[in-house]
Amino acid sequence: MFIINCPYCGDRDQTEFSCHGEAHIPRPTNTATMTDEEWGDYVFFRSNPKGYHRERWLHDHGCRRWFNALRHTVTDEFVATYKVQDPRPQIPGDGDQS
Amino acid sequence: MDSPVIATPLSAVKIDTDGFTALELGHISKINLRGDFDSPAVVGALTTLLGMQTDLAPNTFVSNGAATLFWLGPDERLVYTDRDPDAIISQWRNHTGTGAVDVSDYSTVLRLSGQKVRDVIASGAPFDMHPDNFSAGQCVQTRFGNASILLSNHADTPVFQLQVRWSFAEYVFNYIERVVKYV
Ligand SMILES: [Zn+2]
Repeated sequence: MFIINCPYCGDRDQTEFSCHGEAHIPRPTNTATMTDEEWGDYVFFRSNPKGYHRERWLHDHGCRRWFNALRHTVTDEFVATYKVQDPRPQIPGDGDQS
Repeated sequence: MDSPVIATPLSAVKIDTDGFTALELGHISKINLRGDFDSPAVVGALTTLLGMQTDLAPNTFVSNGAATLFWLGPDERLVYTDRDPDAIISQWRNHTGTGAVDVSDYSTVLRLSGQKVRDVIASGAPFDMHPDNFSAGQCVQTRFGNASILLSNHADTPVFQLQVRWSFAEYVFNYIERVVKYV
């Protein structure tokens, strides 16, 4: 059991939340001309890293807001939680902001 | 004209034991309000329609006798009102251009009192019920068993109100009835 900091409500128990996969995947704008392969990439394929991962979370039992988290997929360490419109927090030990 | 009798889901049951009382409050008119609560239109509407201030901190509520205003989210509030909700809703929409929905029958409210209240809630909710963490004037949306609840602290004696979805009311009541024997 661990504590997750909702950007709106503050620290709450993990059982109030659910995780919904990788964050920052924009919906394509050229949907009319996309190939099946491009659709497959968008719908199904994720980076699935062993390590730090930016992902979407929902505070189901609380304020019911979506937010993003930077979490380590092995240690479950939450480096940061942030609102969807906030700048992306930096991955520890990584100069790359992307 | 006689008002229709509105039967709430727990109107036939109550718990009244040593150190713990649970009683459903019956029908309460409830309105869900959306909007930018920093905007002049919304501030004005809340003041005019409900006589309330908008600078409500997250996880708190205020009462002024006729109405109670709960923080539900950054752009969302819940109102309990003694007045006609339809009138408030239409005026809110006219004043603000943002949403207001009558959610009176979406949920029901249990009044919990007695020295065991914090222990009873702690048996099913992951939120820290210590008085330092949950004092009068605070509210919290959390989980009780598998039900989402809105819990508010109205007095540190303590007197809490537990709002739960209509269809989960019996589940929560049965849960409380069982754990109150052990705390
Ligand atoms: Zn929240």
